[in-house]
Amino acid sequence: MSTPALSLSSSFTNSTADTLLTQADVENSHGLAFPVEPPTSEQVHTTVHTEFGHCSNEAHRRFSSHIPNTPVLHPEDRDPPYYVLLSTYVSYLILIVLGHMRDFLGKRFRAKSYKHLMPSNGYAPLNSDFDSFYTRRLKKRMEECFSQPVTGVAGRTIQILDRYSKDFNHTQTSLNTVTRALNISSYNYLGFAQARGGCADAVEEGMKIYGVSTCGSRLEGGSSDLHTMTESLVAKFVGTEDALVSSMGFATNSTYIPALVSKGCLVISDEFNHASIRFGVRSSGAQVRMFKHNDTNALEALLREAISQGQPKTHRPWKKILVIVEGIFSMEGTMIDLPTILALKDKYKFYLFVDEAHSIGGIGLHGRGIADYYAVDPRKIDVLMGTFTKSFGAAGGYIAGNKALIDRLRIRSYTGPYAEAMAPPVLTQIVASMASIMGVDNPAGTSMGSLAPSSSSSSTLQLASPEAQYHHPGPVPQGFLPAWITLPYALSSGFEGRERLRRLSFNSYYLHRGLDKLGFITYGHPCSPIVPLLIFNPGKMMMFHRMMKDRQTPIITVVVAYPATPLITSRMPTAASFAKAPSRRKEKNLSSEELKDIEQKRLKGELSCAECRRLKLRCDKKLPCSSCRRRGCESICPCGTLEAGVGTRFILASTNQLHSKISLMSSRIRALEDALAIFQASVSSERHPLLEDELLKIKFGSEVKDSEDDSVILDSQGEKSTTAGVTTSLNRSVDTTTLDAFGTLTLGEEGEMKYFGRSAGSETLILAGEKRI
Amino acid sequence: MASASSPLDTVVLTIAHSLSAVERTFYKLPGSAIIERYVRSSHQNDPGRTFLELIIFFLVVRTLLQSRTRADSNNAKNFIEFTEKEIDELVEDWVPEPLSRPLDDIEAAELAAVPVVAGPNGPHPTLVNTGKPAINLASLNFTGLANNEHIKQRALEAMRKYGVGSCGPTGFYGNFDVHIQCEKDIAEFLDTESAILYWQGFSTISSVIPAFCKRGDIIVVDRAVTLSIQKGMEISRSTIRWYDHNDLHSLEEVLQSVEKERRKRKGPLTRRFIITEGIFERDGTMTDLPKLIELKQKYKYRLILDESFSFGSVGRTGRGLTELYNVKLICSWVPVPLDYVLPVVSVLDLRMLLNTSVLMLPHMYSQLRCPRYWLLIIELH
Repeated sequence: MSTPALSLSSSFTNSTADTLLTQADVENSHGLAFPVEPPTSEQVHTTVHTEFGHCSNEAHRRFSSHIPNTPVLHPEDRDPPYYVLLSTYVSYLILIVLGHMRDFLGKRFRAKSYKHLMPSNGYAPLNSDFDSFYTRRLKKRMEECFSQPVTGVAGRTIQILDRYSKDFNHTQTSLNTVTRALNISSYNYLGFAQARGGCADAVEEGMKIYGVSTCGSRLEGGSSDLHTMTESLVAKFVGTEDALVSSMGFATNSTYIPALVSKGCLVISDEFNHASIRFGVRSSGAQVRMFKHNDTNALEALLREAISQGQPKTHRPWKKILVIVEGIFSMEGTMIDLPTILALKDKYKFYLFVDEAHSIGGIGLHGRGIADYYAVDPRKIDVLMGTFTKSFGAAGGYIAGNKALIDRLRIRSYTGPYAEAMAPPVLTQIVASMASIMGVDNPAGTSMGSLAPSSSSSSTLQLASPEAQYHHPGPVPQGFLPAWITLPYALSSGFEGRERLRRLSFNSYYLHRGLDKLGFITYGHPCSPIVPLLIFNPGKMMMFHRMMKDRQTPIITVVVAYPATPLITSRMPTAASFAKAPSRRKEKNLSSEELKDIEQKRLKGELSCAECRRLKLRCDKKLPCSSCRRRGCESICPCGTLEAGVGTRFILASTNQLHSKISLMSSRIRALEDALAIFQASVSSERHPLLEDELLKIKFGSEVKDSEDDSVILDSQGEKSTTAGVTTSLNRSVDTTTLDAFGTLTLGEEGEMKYFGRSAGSETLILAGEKRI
Repeated sequence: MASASSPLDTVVLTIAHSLSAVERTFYKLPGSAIIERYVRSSHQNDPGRTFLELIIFFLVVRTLLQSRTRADSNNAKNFIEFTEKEIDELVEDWVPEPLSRPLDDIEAAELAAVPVVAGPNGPHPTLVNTGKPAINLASLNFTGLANNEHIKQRALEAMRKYGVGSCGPTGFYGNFDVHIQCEKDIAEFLDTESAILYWQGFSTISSVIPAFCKRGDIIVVDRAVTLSIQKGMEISRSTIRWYDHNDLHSLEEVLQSVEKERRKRKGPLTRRFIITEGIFERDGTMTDLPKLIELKQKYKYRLILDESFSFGSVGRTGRGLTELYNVKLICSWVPVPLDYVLPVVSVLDLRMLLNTSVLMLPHMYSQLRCPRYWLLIIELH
């Protein structure tokens, strides 16, 4: 089966033990070791299935992006029934009362075991406040759910070290066995945490050259050229003038915020901001005010009050006002309304600090975070902060902004002289994973060697649209990477990075919708890779955790309660990662249904098909259901819904199908073209007659042809057009002359018409329907 | 008369009627008897008591309705009412300071002078700034283990098993078996009950201090402690008392005065801590640990000792100050950030590392007394 496409696979094809289909000794009853549906011969998988799930279905892709000039999506917070709230409060009350009673009696009758809580020998007890009470009496009861020791790679699956408790969770006894479980809890959004594959190879190379530490702080001998290179790459990735990296994500916030604000400044912070931000603000000496979570009206009211009142007592004007928000909130999954906040920024002249810990690499067409998602210029945001722990599979954090700011932070923050510099393996991992998401300009020259088609010098499709608000930086020039890094073709072409982004986006969306449909209460934006599932009752937390772990396909979950969340809303944040194949997801969802007796059921009959739900029809819950059949839309039953509006529904239903078919076909064309180009390159340096520029253009809409520069040469990397095409669709101008036979005309809710060119792909229809969610 | 009184009668009747209806409905409610009994017993023919109860009731309602994010109530008396137009004008007039001043010439020169090493760091690195090799006196790689081939090999093996990132904090399945093993090994090495690893040296001590020291606790601390300790104390909001740098007489005086104050105040027993460094980052002086422990035990303080620079560099086998002075710490903690001595990739087998090497450091701390930039790279010409 040596189809040419297989030659795309990465560097370790030589070791067959690593490839997925030869692990004969591995038990696969849970379906975690290799895919249930084996990939076909054209599909290239460069990874191990346990680390990175394969997904062959082209329909399981999606773009996460905001359509300009449409209102920002605000998913409404859904409230649980009152009896749930009441029972939750009662549970906590019982726990607290019982805990205090036990403490009271225990201190008197079993003084020996309560010694650490009482003054002894002239020492005050070390822990005696509410934190300690909470830890002992509430958290300890379900210690089983927390800090589970694991081993291996935190990829799509993870191996947990089995343990049990003989004494009501006071101590845990290890069993010396491991269980492989589906990992929906690690923040490995793009699956770059891998022990094998291109990034790991690069890290090995880096470690051989640079060692494991630079032994010093950044200002005092610990800086290396690798740091400088990483910083410029990060700046390029984020789209700002300059950036700096710091070796710990938490410390990025907690040590750099004090360098930005000081006494006489005001920090306006979202009430659900992460602890690291609070820590940083608290040590900066600036005043803090909080506003209601993600409520721009509350923010504006607060700004008006703060600016008009000035500093307390003296009424002097504030030196500066810094608004700190998170791109995607780690415990809520909500996304900020960046356009509105930027409009407020123009009016009220505050500085904006966006913590992109969860959004960088997770959302946006090119994975560049919140600015990319909303297609605004990242330079409009004063300070962009993010971490590498999540999408990049590394560690540490960065701050990006204009050069003056970053230079000042470099020499005037604590981190510069005091905290150790980031370790070289971590830096290499960042460089390799980031370059994979961006794609490397002229990748063929480096990784394909002599196999490279001669004309592939500049394959970028820079769409110079004059009215474009946001100009995404495109692939990274080779010069930004250290010379010794050689990424495999799949990574350096940016193809795999894009696939990963699109799969992450689909999985996030899928998980949101799936859990919603099952009647769970979830929070957050459908594009957010974090999906918090609300559990409420403290008693259910451990039970849920255990039932998920004891399934045939074990799923590990994290339950989070106070103090990370408000007391009442304990939850399970699920990190959607691209690495899970949707079939697993379905399984999870179906089995969660079995668990529904312990879950929040908002409505008993929630499981009618989506279209019946929308139209409030009685659904007989067959597949397809009778009402859908009657209405002629059985193809979309049970999950799809139609757009509202007279006359458009059937058109939309069928175009949806048509588009997915077209996108399937065009991706197949691309795969074939790639294969052909590579095959051709191995026999001659001439281009294959079937790969003429003119012929290649068939995959794009005509508007791309019009706007593209003459010097742009399309080579075998046809997939570049995917990105380019969508950029066009975002920057599109409704130009009737470019009407194309394959274009789509959609009718919006208010009857406004929108034209999507062929290159927009079926994804735009999902985007257009996003209001429905 | 009848005509005049009839509307009044109707009104009175209606009120009486509705009151009795309310009463009936009230008694129909479950639990109404309890409320009635409570009101009767609290009233006890004393309107003052009822009034007090009502005030409490309204306070509770007010507290419940209060927004979590509202301004402090003590600001209320300072609050000035503005009209919307005035606010708009004030907003228009307000000119904030720039977020950051651009660097001036001196600062820019300072930044440009920061040594950047090309390639791996070691005793003779090449500098990017000058392109020339230099003797490295700035590195904290005291033991020279950073580029040890054996360690590199072990690190590579670990990477091939675990990948690079743990992709989550401890609670989010970031608690790997190697972390647990490493913590155990460190505890064993230092002969303590247990140990905990932090990712960054700077945040180790600044997180440990606020975890134990809370508002109202007393911290007695050396004047010359490093910045991370100062930051940790700031966050903890404890009462801080300083003693002169490395002067144990001064420490004793402070301890005595704290004790005197406490007796005078007759307050409850609070947690008390002494925080200092083993070898001071600022000037390289060393703490007299036996004397310190004596004082700590005499005055019943807990000791937090930052061994960032002494761990792995002093003592016969590198176990730090405790080994150097041959003392055993009881009821004290020794936070040891690993970054300076050991590579920060925390998946290394520590035991292996320390058994195979002789950790020696000449008494360099006594020779180096220039503050802050105490080690610089000298260029080779």
